[in-house]
Amino acid sequence: MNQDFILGRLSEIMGWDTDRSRQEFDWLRLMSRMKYDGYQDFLAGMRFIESLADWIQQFSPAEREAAYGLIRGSLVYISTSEMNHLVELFYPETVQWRLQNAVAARLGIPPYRVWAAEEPSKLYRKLLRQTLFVELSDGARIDVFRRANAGTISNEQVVTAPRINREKWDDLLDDLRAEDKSARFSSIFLIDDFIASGTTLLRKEGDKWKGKLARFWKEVQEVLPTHFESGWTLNVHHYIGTHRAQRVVQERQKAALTEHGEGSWFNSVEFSFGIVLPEGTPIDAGSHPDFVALTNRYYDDTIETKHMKLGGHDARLGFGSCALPLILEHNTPNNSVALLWAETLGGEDKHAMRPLFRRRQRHV
Amino acid sequence: MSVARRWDPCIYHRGVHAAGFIREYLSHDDRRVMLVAGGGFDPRSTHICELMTEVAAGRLQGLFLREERPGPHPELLRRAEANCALLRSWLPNAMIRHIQVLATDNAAVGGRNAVSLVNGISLQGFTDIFVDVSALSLGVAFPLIRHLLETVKRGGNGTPRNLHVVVMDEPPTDHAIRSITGDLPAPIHGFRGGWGLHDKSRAATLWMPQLSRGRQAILRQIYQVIRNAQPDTVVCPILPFPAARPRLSDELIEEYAVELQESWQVDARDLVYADEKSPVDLYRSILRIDDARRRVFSEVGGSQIVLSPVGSKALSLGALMAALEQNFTVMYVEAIGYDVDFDRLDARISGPAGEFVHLWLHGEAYGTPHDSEGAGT
Repeated sequence: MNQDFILGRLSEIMGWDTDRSRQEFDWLRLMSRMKYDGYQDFLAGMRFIESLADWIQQFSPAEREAAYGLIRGSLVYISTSEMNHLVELFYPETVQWRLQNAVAARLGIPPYRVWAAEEPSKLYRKLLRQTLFVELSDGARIDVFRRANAGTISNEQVVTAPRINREKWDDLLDDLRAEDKSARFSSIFLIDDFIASGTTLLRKEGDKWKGKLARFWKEVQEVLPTHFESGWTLNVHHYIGTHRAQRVVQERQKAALTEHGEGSWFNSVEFSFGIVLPEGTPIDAGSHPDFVALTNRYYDDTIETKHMKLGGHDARLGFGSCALPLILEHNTPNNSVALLWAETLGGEDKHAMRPLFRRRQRHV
Repeated sequence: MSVARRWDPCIYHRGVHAAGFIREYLSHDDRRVMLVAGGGFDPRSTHICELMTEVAAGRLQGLFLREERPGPHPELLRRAEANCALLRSWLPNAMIRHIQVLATDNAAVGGRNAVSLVNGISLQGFTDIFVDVSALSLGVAFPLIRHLLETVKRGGNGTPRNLHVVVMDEPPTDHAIRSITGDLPAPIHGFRGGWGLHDKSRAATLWMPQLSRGRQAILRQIYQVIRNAQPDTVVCPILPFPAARPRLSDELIEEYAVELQESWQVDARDLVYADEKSPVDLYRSILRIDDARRRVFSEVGGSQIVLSPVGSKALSLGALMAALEQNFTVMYVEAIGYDVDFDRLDARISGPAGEFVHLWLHGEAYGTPHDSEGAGT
């Protein structure tokens, strides 16, 4: 579709005058070209500006400025290049630093001495080989991670399935022992793209701890005595995390350890993030009163599936009421404000929600 | 397959880790330290000296450079005097030296003068040199670091073994100090690279400007000079991501809309992202691009990268490292003066301090006094 044509329609929809249209068109052309058109779920002929025109029309004319204002002033869009950069940063900025400190601790030297002599450098290489990298979801971009670290991290150290059966554990150990017959694993990095509420990673339901971390604890028990060094370390890395998640995961890890007791839960888990979205990122009635009013008015609670209810009984501000104005180029998180991604049929006095960035549901 | 790099791995620290490193490292009695820093109006002149004095009093010597430009604002002079008085109160034997940044024809000579000055000062007996670039202009800091790196690498009896670069990274302070620039973009002294050389006349030129707030005019001037020399110059702007403010790169894209779309004609896939907090990340990114381009253009005139680090001081160190390693051109416009927003500067002084960054460029940490700094992994 001719971009000028759809911009003209958008101008009519928004009721912009000539000056305002010129100003907004410049921004829309720029940002769609540089970032937003890259959203993976846009269709040919229905990219950002077309989707915006469609999305805006679900609101009354008087409300459209508030909707547009959120996109113009608060949307956080992480592009493919930005996401790939977070993946590329993971090894040099997080893994290397952790292992460098581990070598220093084992040898009783300051971390800055690790590259100064052969012995610590050799131990570094050994510990690196004894490290496994496990994806927690397909958002972990393991393909990008492998390419970025070719020649440094072996393919046999990278596990592309969140659940590892006994046969796979044995294969991983065999590969490790091809180089050192008595070697065991000394550390694991669990990797995922995004964490907002912390619920999917670790939560308490009734008197049970659930989530990916709880599941990993169960699965690793069988091989802990045979495949792992005593004192092995668990690291959990997310390329993107919220300020809230950064705090919550620490608290829940501490609570789970206290309840289970040492030996029955991970003694320590090191959490890290490629970028932490600041505390002020979520929207609320104070920062975005008009838009929050829209989230109340244009809400269809049929999006509250069984999975969504794990995060609470109201999803208008997204899973776990995280209230994020966040879009990831490969899919919009369900923790983002529902008006950005939800698509419903409406009916029975319920509004048919139209998405700006359509979300592919992982859980139905 | 990645290529072995001079600073990969690199010993560098940030924030509490940097301060922790200084406290531990300088606590050893055998460390004798020369601190080379700016002694000007910039409030960052004193932070790192204060920290080092706490730990290494009696083993710390200071060389503070006062950059002189024509017709300074009296308030700038007053603040510079106050900072120097503070530095002298901590280090009574400190050397405070004046450097003319501009020649009578406004040509940038600060770097050359700084090198000449430091060359005349004995470094005998010091184990470590720390260059604090917080309050130095790049035109002075880059040549100084190159000279000192060559000095410590050359070694010799009594010459310091270790060279460190430190900076108090404070983007709000950078924004409060606006450079008044002349109209003569030129390579920084010692960072000419292949610029103007006959054998680079056919080279495919890639310009990598570091985008930051309020620097359009400077970058426009630089681009004009590069484009006059190489009309087919390709532009890959550097944007800060990840950053403390996740929308910062979007805001910069908007601020540089005209340049990106019309003047430089940048394709979205040519945006280069560098961690706002990590100079080493930018260093790696630049060299990765250089590796690829060298292969592509090896038989058709070669590749030439030109850097213009006009943004945060911390990220500019990444450009410095890449330029030192591959002899890239660093194109810059020297400030002929400063237009300082004193209210913003003072607001920053009463607010939280910036983050301290430490880079170890050469010495014991790498176990070799020779060219290859890194042990490799």
